[in-house]
Amino acid sequence: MENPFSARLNTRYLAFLLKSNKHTMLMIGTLLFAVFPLLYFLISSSYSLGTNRFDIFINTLYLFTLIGIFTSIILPLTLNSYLHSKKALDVYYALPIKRVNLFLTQLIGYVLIILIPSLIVFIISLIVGVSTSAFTAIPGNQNWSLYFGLFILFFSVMVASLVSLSYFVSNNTGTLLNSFLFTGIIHIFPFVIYITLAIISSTQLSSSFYLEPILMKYISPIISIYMYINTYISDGVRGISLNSAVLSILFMILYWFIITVLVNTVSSLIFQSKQFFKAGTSFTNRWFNAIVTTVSTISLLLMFLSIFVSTSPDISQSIALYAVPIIIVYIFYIVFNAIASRSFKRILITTGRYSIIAVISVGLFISALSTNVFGLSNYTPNASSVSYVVVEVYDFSNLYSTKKKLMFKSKDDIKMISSLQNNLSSTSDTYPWNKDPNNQVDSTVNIKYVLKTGETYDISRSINSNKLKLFEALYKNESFLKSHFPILSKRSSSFLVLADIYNQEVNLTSIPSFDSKTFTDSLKDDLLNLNTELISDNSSTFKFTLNYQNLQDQNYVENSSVIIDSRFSKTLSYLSTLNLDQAFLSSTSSGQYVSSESTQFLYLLKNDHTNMPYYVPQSLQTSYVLQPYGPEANSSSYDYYELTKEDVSQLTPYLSGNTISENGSDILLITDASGYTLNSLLINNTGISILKSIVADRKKVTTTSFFPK
Amino acid sequence: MIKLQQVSMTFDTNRILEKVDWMIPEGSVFGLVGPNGSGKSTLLRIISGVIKPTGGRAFVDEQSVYNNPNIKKTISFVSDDWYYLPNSSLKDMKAFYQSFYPDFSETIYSSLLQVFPIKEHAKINTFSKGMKRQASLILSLSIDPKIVLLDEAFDGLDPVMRLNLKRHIADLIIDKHLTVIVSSHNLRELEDICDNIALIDNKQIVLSDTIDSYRTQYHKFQLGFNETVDPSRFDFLKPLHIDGNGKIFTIILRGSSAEVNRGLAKLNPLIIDQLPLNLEELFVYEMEGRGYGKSI
Repeated sequence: MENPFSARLNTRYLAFLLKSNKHTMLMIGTLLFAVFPLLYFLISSSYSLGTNRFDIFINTLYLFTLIGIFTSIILPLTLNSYLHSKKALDVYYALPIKRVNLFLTQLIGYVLIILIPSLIVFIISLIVGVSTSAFTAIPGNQNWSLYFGLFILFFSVMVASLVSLSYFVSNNTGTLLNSFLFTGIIHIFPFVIYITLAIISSTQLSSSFYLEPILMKYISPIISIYMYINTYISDGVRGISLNSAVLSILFMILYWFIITVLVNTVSSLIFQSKQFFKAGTSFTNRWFNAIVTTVSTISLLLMFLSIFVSTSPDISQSIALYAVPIIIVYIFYIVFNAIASRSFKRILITTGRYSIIAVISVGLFISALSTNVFGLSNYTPNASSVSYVVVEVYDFSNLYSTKKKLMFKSKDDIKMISSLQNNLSSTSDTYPWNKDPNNQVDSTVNIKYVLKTGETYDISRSINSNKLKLFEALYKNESFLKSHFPILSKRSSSFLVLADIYNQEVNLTSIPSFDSKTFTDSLKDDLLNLNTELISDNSSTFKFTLNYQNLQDQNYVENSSVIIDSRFSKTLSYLSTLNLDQAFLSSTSSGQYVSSESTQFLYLLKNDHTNMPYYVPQSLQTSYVLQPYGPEANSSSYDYYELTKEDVSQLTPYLSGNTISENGSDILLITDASGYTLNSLLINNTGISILKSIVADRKKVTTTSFFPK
Repeated sequence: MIKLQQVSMTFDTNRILEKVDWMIPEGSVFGLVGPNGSGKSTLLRIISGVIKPTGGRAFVDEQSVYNNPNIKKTISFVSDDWYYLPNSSLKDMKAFYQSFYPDFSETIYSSLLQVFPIKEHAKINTFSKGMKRQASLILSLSIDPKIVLLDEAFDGLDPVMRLNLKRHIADLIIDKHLTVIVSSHNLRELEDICDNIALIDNKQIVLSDTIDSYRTQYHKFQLGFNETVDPSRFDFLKPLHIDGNGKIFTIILRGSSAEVNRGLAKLNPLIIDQLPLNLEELFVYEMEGRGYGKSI
């Protein structure tokens, strides 16, 4: 057998291959031209303007690539069909050419039959489109020769790898039908693995787990190039610079090039040793058949097991559930083997083999369940290999929601996020107000690690709100604080309205001695120094609510607020220098906030009718009463007393902000005239005693229609 | 010169050839005969380098054939069922062969087109079996080979085309000192063209000699006796075949003329009449002698 790397191209035969397939090339070129650029021009001309053009550009490029993929898979199988015919082999093997050279020449020929029309259409379309400004989707500030040069390189390598895979399958199968069947399996196989992992993760783990196809782009060239278009070309079209991603793209191209070389090395050796007499028989390479069918059957069985057994994570109680997927895949396996071998004769042997596969699969499945998918769900990249991390939190209670994607670059921050992610799976910390099993609400956490190589590792977890407490760690992080409290960012606000408990307001910027920087520095220091029991600390006393505006862009102003309690010592100290009592008296309302005269104070009692407490989760930004979930709560009635400003003045030392009541509690609800909640504060036991005496001779109001807005 | 040295061929557990030694001198025209499934085609595939023997080696001019382009370009192998590219014409196939055989002869190609009137531009898949065979022969001989291996080459050709082919091969043998091996079941065809015949049976070449030599070694007689004779009386002659009963017998014997005549004289027949023996009879009786067809 010859060394595959000693192969030489037979240029005369290569020229013949290209010439004899000129009609095929013309057909491929026409098909490609029809979608890119013709389809792009046709659709985009129907839009006058707008971002749609970007999507059209990307979608037509997807179609272009899809045609490239399809032809790269199919063409080699049909051109190589001679390998399945003894009479064809009589001609080919008698030719005066070394097998190793025949393999190389055909491989190069098949690749060129697809690449030549593809690249001609693509490059000419691009040159004409850009030079005539016909590609209005492409922004002028991009280095398009680089980006599309990389696409051409990626596309070429993808075509080569797909052609190689099909050639490899042709070499290992004895009939055209089998070569199609096995090629299909090889290309579907990565998706089956992906679906299996996703299902196992989402159904069997304590929290759902979304595996970003980082793995997939290494096991499927199809996914790899689609991710490339989706990520890089798509960003490029939208004007995002791709310079930082060039190395990552080149790495992917190199990766698939190496894989292609490896596949062809093995393929060449198999081609050289291919037995003439096995042409036309079902399996020319029993090892290939055994490996592919076994691995794909295991994957398929794992997928079905994960679907069926997901309803009952208790393995001991779900034996019957295992039987269904095993039987379904058994039918698949038997039918596939019968098609491949064109016979049902070996059904007993096939059943025996399947039994072994089933045992292995079930073993793997149970192992995956008991090890959190072999630790994959807990995987976090090594902090030293991470360039930065992007975090997003969507929290229904708004306690920890990030307002935008937060980027963490320092090593300590990256470690903090990694630790946070790990704890998401392992911890069982709960919030007291969320013990009710009917009150299990999921929040979403997205974490994206961008590695120094440019690779990304994305994790999206839908976690139970019980675990949100973990995110208190974020409050110790300046990036998070700046995102959560825009007042700390550089864009200072000219609208800083401080409201006291009576909703009396003063615009701090109107006080001559007020210094915005000193104020925000104090606020930042206080926020960073808050202890880790930030939310559940009910010993702090409410002082002020700071309402402010920050400019998001030229057209959009965002209203924000922060509750300042007794723990904000530096802020309170600074505010005490501003002679606020005088300022409150002379202040005029901004007009956005209700005047203090219309403010209503309600003493809202713990709901005795349903014995369901009010929960008062209060973030540093806002506070609100959280109604218990469920139909009972909706039909509840509410008891309250109306209070006066003077009543409230006796309570001020006993009111807490930033608090959650474990068992529910009586609360002070402050609303405007229309019932809109301005604040809801927890009253401690001393305060409740005082209030009981105040309201002793007042009439309790009961309503079923009222609920704080 | 073609030389097979201890050539064996096994496929799965099926042994097709076993330690075959065979030598074919340059310029000879060999007819390869043998029963169905005896390995004739396999032997030709090994000589042409289509398959690699599982044991031993095949040499042409002292060089191994398998995977040796320099030798293979001098060999033309025409299989019994010729393959052509899908939807191709003779002209397309000519281009295919030209890409592998730089010495493809336009002269031979043109002259063969005169012998076999095939439309160059017509699609081969519209051809009859005989026309396809003609097309394959045109291309195979146009590569200007030194060795031509024809597997059931005359099958499908009409009598005129058979004659034309024989004539053309005869011309090539004379002009280019061509070595030809023709496998066929039709011994009458081989008799016309071959100077040597080899018999393959039981996984080996069991006979390989010139036609003249066969004719001197095999004899057919008609014997007449004046009284009824038991056929067992001929056993000492080890006849290949005996036909007849009673007083008249036809007998085929192997050996030199002198030995055979001496043996026959001992029987003291009334009439001894030597009859002509053709190759077909010779090999049929030889195969019968080896047990072929007796189980049927």
